[in-house]
This record gives sequence, C-alpha cells and structure tokens, in this order.
Amino acid sequence: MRKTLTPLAALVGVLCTFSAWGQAYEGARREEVDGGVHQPVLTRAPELLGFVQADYPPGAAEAGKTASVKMAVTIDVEGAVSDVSVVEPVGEGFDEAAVTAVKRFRFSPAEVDGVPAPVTIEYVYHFTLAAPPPSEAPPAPARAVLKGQLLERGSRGWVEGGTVRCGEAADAPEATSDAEGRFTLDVPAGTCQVRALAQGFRLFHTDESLEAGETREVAYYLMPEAVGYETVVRGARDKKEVVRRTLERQELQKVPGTFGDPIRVVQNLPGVARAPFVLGQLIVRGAAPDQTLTLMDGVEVPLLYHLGGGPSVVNAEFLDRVDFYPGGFGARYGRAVGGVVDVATRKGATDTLHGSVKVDLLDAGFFVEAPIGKGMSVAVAARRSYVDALIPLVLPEDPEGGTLQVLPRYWDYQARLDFGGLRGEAKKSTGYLMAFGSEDTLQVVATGGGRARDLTVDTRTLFHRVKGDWTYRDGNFTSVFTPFGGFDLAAFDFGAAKLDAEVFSLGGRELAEWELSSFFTARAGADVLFEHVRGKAELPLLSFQYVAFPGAEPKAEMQTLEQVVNGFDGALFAEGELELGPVTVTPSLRGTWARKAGQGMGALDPRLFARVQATERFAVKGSVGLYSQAPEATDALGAPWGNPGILFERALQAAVGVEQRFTDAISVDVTGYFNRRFDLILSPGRTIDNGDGTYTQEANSNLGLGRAYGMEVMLRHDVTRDFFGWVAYTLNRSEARRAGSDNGYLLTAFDQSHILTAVGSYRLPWWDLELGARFRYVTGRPTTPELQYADLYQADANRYYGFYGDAGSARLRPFQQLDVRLDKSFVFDRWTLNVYVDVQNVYNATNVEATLNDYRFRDVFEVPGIPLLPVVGFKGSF
Amino acid sequence: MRVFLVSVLLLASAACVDGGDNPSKVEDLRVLAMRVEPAELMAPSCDPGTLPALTTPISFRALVVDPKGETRPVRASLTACSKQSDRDCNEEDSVRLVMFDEELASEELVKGEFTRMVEPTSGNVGQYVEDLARVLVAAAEADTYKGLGGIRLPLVLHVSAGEEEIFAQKLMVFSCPRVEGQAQNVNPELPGLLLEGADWAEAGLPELSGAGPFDVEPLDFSDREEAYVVPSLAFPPEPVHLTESWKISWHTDYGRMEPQETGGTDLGGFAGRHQVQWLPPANDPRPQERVRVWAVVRDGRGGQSWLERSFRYAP
Repeated sequence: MRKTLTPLAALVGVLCTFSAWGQAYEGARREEVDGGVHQPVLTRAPELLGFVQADYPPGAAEAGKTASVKMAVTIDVEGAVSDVSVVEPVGEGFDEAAVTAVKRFRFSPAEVDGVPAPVTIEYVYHFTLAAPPPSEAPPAPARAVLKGQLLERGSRGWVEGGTVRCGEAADAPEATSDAEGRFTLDVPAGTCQVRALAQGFRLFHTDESLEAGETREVAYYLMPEAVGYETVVRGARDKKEVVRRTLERQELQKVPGTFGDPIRVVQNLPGVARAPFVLGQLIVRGAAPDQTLTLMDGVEVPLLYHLGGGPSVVNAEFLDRVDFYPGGFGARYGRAVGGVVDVATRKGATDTLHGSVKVDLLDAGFFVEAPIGKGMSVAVAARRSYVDALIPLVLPEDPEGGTLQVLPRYWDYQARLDFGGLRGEAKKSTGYLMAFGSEDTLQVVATGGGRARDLTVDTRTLFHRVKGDWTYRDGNFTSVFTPFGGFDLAAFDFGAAKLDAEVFSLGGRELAEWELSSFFTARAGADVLFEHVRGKAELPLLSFQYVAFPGAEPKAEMQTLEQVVNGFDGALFAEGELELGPVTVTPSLRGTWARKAGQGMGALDPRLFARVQATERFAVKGSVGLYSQAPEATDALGAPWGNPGILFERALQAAVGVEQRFTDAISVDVTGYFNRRFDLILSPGRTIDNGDGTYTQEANSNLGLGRAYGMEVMLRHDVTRDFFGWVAYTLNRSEARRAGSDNGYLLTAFDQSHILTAVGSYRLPWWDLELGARFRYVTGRPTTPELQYADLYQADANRYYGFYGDAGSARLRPFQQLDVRLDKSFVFDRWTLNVYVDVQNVYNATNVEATLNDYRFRDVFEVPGIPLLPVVGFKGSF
Repeated sequence: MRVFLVSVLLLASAACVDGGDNPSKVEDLRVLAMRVEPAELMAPSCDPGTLPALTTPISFRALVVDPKGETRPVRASLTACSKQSDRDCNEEDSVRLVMFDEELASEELVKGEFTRMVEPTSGNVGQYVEDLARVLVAAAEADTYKGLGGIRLPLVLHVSAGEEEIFAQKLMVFSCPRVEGQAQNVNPELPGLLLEGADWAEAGLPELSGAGPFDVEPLDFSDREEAYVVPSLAFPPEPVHLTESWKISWHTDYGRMEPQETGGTDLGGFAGRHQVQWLPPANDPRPQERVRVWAVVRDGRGGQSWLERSFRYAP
C-alpha cells in the first residue's frame, strides 16, 4: 500500500472569529448594524494561496488508518499563519503532522470593514490512503463530464468550497465547488463513485454511470451535520457595557415555553422579573414596563405583541439577534430609565431563493428571502390572522337572545432591501431600507336580547415604520446614518364615545466613529425624534373633569375634544474609548433637550464604563451613569389632561461585575447593580390650590421615587453544535414611594426576590431530534394581607372594601414550572419540515398568579397559573 | 396567538373563580341601604361665613336585614367622621361625632328598617352645632378638593349582631352653589315594581311556581331622574350639566336576583336597562311562604330609597 496524502482539506466557507472566545457557535452570515451601533463586518475572506502537504504518520499509514483533523487557524494581517490549535484531536500522530503543515500555509489577508485584519478560521485536514497504482498503465479510458451543483439539503443553499471526487484513489478526479456551489469534473467513462465533502456537512456518496462522451448535469444535496443550524461567521462584538446579553437565532426560536416567540426569550435572562400568566411585559431591574425601551433595528416600536399578549409583531424568521441591556447602556441609547431591548432583523439570503411558510390554527405567515442583483438582496415576511373567521363557528348562540360577536384580527409585515457590501472596494457604502408595521383590530358587540346593558367596542391599533441605514467606511472612519419615519393610529370606539389618535414621527440617528490610534477611539452622534400628535375625542364629560360622587354613572353632555401636540426629543452624545493594555475606560456624555407640548426641558447624562481584562479569560467591569426619559407629549398638556410642568424621569444606574470564561463555550458573569430612579411620573399628580377657593388637579406629577438593587448571575453555554443553555439567577429588591407622602419605600408590585431560570437544549444523537427544557423558580409577588374582622360597606356606591395590613407585607406562593420542548426536523432535498411539541408545566405545578376576593372580602380565591399545556407546531422552510 | 388564547383562557378562568357568595342573596346580617332626609343641605351662598342650617333636623333611615336572627339583639351606632378613607371611623386622627349608639328593640327592625332623627335637642343646641361644624371643617380639610364638590360628611353606621359586624358608610352632602344652576338634591323614589309584567303592590303576595326565572322590573321612572349642575375642575370652575341615571341594586332573602345591579350610564352612553330576574335555588328549591325582594335605588348624588315586595313560591 502506498501512502498518499490527499489535500481533500479545503477552505470551506469563511470561519472567522475576531476573538478567541467567539468560536463556539457558527451563526448566520450577516452584517451587524443595530441602533446606530457599528459592528465589525467581514468584507473579504482569506483565500488559501500556498498549500503544504503534511507528512503521513508512518504508524498510521502502516495500520491503514485515515483521519480528519479539525483546527482553529489564526491568520495575521499579512496572511501568514500565526497560530494553530487542534479543535478535535484524533491522535495517532495526525494532529502534529497537520499542525506542522498548516503553520506553513499562506493565505490572502482577510479584510474586516474593508481593511486587513487578523481572523481565525476553522480548517480540516483530511488524511486518506489509496491503493498502489497497477504495474502497467491501462490504456487511457474514454472520458465523460460530470457537472453539477452542491446544495444544502433542506434549504437548497449553495455549498461553497466543497470537494467532489470520483473514486477514492489519490489521483482521482477532483473539483472544488465555487461560490454558487457549482463544479465540473472530467472523469473516465463508466461507473463513478462520487464522494462530496464540505465543512459542516455529512459525507455524500453516490454512483454515477457515465457513457463515453456524456456530459451529465447533477445536483447533490448535502445533509448538514446540524439540521437547521446555519453556517458560519461570528464576529465577537466590542463590549462597551457592563451587561449586554445577546441571544442568537438558535436560542431565540428553541427555548421551551416561549411558544417560539423570540422576544419572550428575553424574559428568561437575569434582571428580568417574571410577568404574570404568559404576558410579555419586560420588567427590568424593578423598572416599570414602559421604562424599558424596545427598538427594532434601532427604531422604537409602539407595541411588541398583537392584541396585548399575542404573538410578537415581528415574524420570528425575520429576526437575527436580540440584544438586551438591563442597564448601564452607553450614551448612544437614551429615552429610557430602565433597560433596552434591541431587536435586529437579518439581511436576505444572497445565494438563492429561500423561505418558509407557517400555518397555525389561527394565523398564517410566510417569509421569503432572495438575491435580486449584484450586491442586493431582499427579505419579506407577512402574517395575517383568521381567528375572526373561526370564532363565529365556535362561539355559541347568544345566551341572552340578542347579538353577540367577538372579532379579533391582526396582521403584520416586514420588508428589507440590502445593498452594497461588494468585495475589494477601498471605500464602501452599504445599507438597507426597511419597512415594517402591524394592525390589530378587535370588535365586540353584545346588544339586545335580555341583557341589562348593551356593549359595542371597536378598537384599532396600527403602525408603520420606514427606515434607512447607510454605513460609510473609509479607513479608520465609520459613519452610520439611520433616518426613519413612522405613522401610528389608535382608535377606540365604545358606544357613542370615540377616541382617535394619530402620531406622525420623523427621526434619525447618526453615529460617527474614528479610530484615532491603536488605543483610542472616539465616537459621536446625534439622536433626534419629532412627533406630531393629533387627537380627537367625542365622549361624555368624564368623572375627572368634575368632583364625581362615589358610584355615580350620570348621563353627561357629549363633548368634542381636539388636541394637536408636537413633541421633540433630541440628543447629542460623545464617547471616548481608551484602551491602556488590559484596561478599557469609556467615558461618555449624552445631552438631551426636549420640547413637549410647548414645554422645554433639558438633561445632561454623564456615563462611565470601565473594564479590566485581568487575564485572557477573566475580566472585572463596572459602570455608573445618569439616564433620562422624556414624558410623552400628551403628558405636558394642561389640566385635566396633563401637567405643563412635567419633566424628565431620571435614574442613576451603577453596576459592577466580573466575567470568567471557563472554556470556549462556557462562561459566567456576575453583576451587582443599584438603580436609583427619581422624578418618576405618577398619576394623579398634585392638587394645586388656586388661591380663590378652587383647586386644580394635575393629571400627573414628577413625584415618583424608586430604587432597585441586587445581583445577577449568568452561567452560559454558548450555542455549539449540539447544545446551548444557561442558568440565570437574579437576587433583587425593588421599592418605590411617592414623594411627600407619609409612607416610606414599599415593595413594587413586581418585586421578586429570587428569580432562577435554567434553559438547555440538546441535540440528541438520534433521528435529528432536539430536546429542550426550561425550569423556573421565582419568589411570589408582593401582596397586601387582608385583616378582615367586619364588613366595610360604602352605601352610596353599593360597594364593599377590605381591611388591609401593611402594603406588600405578604407574598404569593413561589412560582415553579418545568417546560419541555422536542423538535424533529424532516429534511427533504428541497425543503425541511420542522415539527415541535412544546409542553408547558410538565409536572402540572399549581401556581398562583393573582388572588381575588368575594364581594365582601371575606374569602380569598387564588387564580391558578397555566396548567399542563402541550402545543404542537409545524413549519416548512425551503 | 397561542399566548393570546392562553391568556384569554386564564383570564376567563380568573373571572370564573367561584366566589360562593352573591351580593343579591341576603343570607346573613346585611346593611342594604342608608338614607338621610334631606338628601343634601345647601347653604344659600358660598360666601365665607355662610353655612348650611346645621340645626336642620336630619332623618336617618337604614335598611338592615338579619335573616338569621329575628330574635337576637342588634346594636347600632351612627358616627359622623371626618375622613372618607377611615371606613370604620377608627383612625386616631379622624374627628368624630357620635350621633347615636344603642341596642335596637327587636320590634324596631320593621321590615328590616329602622329610623332615627338626628337633631339638636333643647339645652345643648350650641354644643351640637359646634361639634358638627368641627367635623365638617375637618372633613373639608381632608377632602382632596377641599369641598369643591360639597363637603361630603361620612356617616358610619356600625351594626353588630352576634358574631357579625358591619361598618356602613354614607356620605351626607353639605354644599353651596359654586356655579349657576346648582340646586339641592332630593332623594329618588321608585314609583313601583312589576312582577312577571303585573303590578306588584306592597301589600300583595303573588304566587310564583316552577323553576323560573321570573321577570322583575320597576315602573318607568325616567321623568323622575333630575338634571343637575356641578362645578368643573377647570380654573375657574364652570358648570357641568349632568342628568341622574339611577342605579338599582336588587336583593332577596331566598334564591337570587340576576343581575344584582342595573341602571347607570356608561362611558359609551349606554343606559343600563332595569331588566331583572328572580331565580330560585338551583338545587333543591323548597316552598316558601314569603320571599322578600328589595330594590334599592341610588341617584348618584347621595340620594337613596328602597321598596320591599314579597311573593309566595312553590317549586
């Protein structure tokens, strides 16, 4: 047997990491631009220019052994190999031989953001043996041509850099697939034992019988090693905050108990309290839900979920990543005294047409993505419910003998057009246009028959957003400009009362970054938002327009109210990032000036972030800063609708923590925090003595004080081939009080002392099954105990009241629940069917979400949480 | 959408939590209504120093029903209290004036009602007026609106019988005309009731049989609902024109009334219809020689009154 070394090893895809920690998951190729934040983008992949054959280990050759050695190869800015480490050792001398050879490889330099940069790639060196050649060369056989394309099975994605061979022999015909997965092989006529191999795919083999002179066109569908996981590039992003938790697509779609709704996954991270039932509220470090800013590609969205608690308004297929900042975020973010959630959408496919169709019992949606020209791609998603058509089929006849209708309906859409990003350009402009929106309507009619009161409700909530994104890079300068416009409509008809509000918004962000030296980077930008609000209401005089009597429901004169309110919120910010060896210090300043309903207000928010990378795997970090959130324009209206003297809500946020990475995939983050919120807007506000015997009731005032402190622990296993998961623990105390009141700080309604969430998802070795589980243990929410010893009756209102103990001095029982999810993918050549079973509350724990009283407050009844609930879902993608 | 459905189901389950008790079922000691006559005391003007006539006798009536204890003593006290939020009038900083405190004779609870006159008696008129003025001033100071909507003086009736105890609060209005058109309120009076479409006289005892339900409704009283004026919270105050939309709460000492309360006008302008049904117990209904039904009407300004009717029932 002659020992032969076959360079089957090929540079398969572009496997880059910008840090040693970023290799755990091969995520989707993308450009990362979120919220005006520049993310490094690989603009040119390294190409292998000089291949060196490895020495076949003698012992292995004699034993007839073959092997494939997977290595992490670091390439410097010159294209030389600066470091090689074996990812999966195989022994027998193969590892050493492969490392020795690869160290002598030569590559073309990779480019990041258009400039040469060091990268780390994954490389597999294959050692194979072939039979010795026959003593006499046979006559040259007749030839044939095998042409074709390597495609990913289940999605039809092009497989670039795959190797196609005809036979096992060392000198067997061999070809490498190009960027579109195409290859051409000149082969002997007869039976060709085709072997196709590509990084991240299982070995494909088949036999082709070719006649002499025949040219055969084929398409080979290669089975991915991890079905549904996508290929590759991950750029580790600069850490400029003490805590930024990023969830990748895999984590967003497969967490049990979240119904596959990516935004709900954020609720499983440290610092986020559990919302009651299965509602999607984000309660971050004790802040109210409206104090956490929710952005989609950097643009604020008015609502996250359809119909209040339904599916999120963004198709899950459209999401690329969710960044969650529980606090301490940089100066480029504002308008929030709680946290920030930034949802990033993804660029459309650049290889070929892909898509998915999801059909549910109550809605249907699609997602398609495709290249549409040189350097351009498009992605479109839409969804429409048909529950309004189904409900009349299941709703019983009106038991009152009148008319009863309940008609909820919703739809949403997202579209994104990407352009630019071609290789080899010294100056590059890239960007995209994006449009998204949604509408919810709900009609309820219950009239006539024997009912004592008619009811007609018609609500409509609509929003559209259009945004652009232009990124310009030139050497050490980068500019990202994000203009956007929007239209919101909210309408509420209740009988004769009608309320309509329209909001036209126009805004933009600009972030400029100069890398002035190897140790100092300066950033500056602007963030402006203008809103024009038109409101109209036709409704009876409201009880807060006069001093209403308890229990009264008089007939009141109708009134027509019209308001036009303008609101402006503009900020300038600057940030310097100084890196002195292991120490990074980032001071920043954000100055905000707002004008709401003619009332001007300003705030200056200095922030400081520091990080000490003590060792390669251990870091200490801390931050402190001021944060401001402007009131809504309508909050600044005159009484009784608002308060012209209303000002910013403010917060002081401080945090300190440590990070320790144990392995390439496993890390822990421990962060302590203290948030002091002040000037919070409370309603009702002060009662003002006008001095003439009359009083004015302010609708709201900056009277709220709050504080939250605690510790967050995140033990995380990054997404690898077979597993991802985390254990999140939060120790928290959040309190609030009204300035000027006699009461001290009281626990907030959502205070939860201990929040433990464990999430794990494991790819089973059989049948492409993936099993996930989530367990949660959460301290019960505060309640106020009842001390009823007698009935308390208010005879004018015909209503009872309770005797209560100290506010928040009792709690609901702790919450605990285990959810399990099982995914199975059926991979066909051209499409994939995914079926999952998501079982909530597997052991049917009896949790308490709230309590109710009987009408006299003599008894307390517990409102149970969600029982054992299995949900089955189907999704087809191509 | 699955989340939405789950949420709806959970909220529905919450709404369906069986409270066991029903406000229309009078099965133990209850205060169903309290009425003062006159319904409102209005001073002739809002000039400082002009007070309502505090010496005006006030007739206080309460509808107290105690189905379990026809022979047990009922103790009742009435206290004027300065703070609306002090519903049992027990807080240290509340200013109080005890108007009566006594054990009721069993025969005094005629049809569940008892009446007391609250008025200055000879010899201590000055002290009474001084005490009442003191509570009124304290009530005005405790009021968020400092009496703009009238000083609403809480009267707390404390009733106890055996182990049962009730604190029932009624607001008595002392006002002055702050805007043009303000006038003194009078108590609402229902003209009568219909049972199964027939006139239901106070002295009558019609017979009902079967599983029901049986229709009950008041005679039309729409011409009795008064238009009235209150000051707005705008600066300066403007007159707000309102019309009473009476609400009726329904009670019975056997079976239940559905719905328990009717009337009022909601934000959408829908006035509730006074369509009520009496339903016998679903399980094992028994013949009843006398089933009593009370209809308590409220005008939304502090005025109250009630009617009592009876019928005989056979399942």
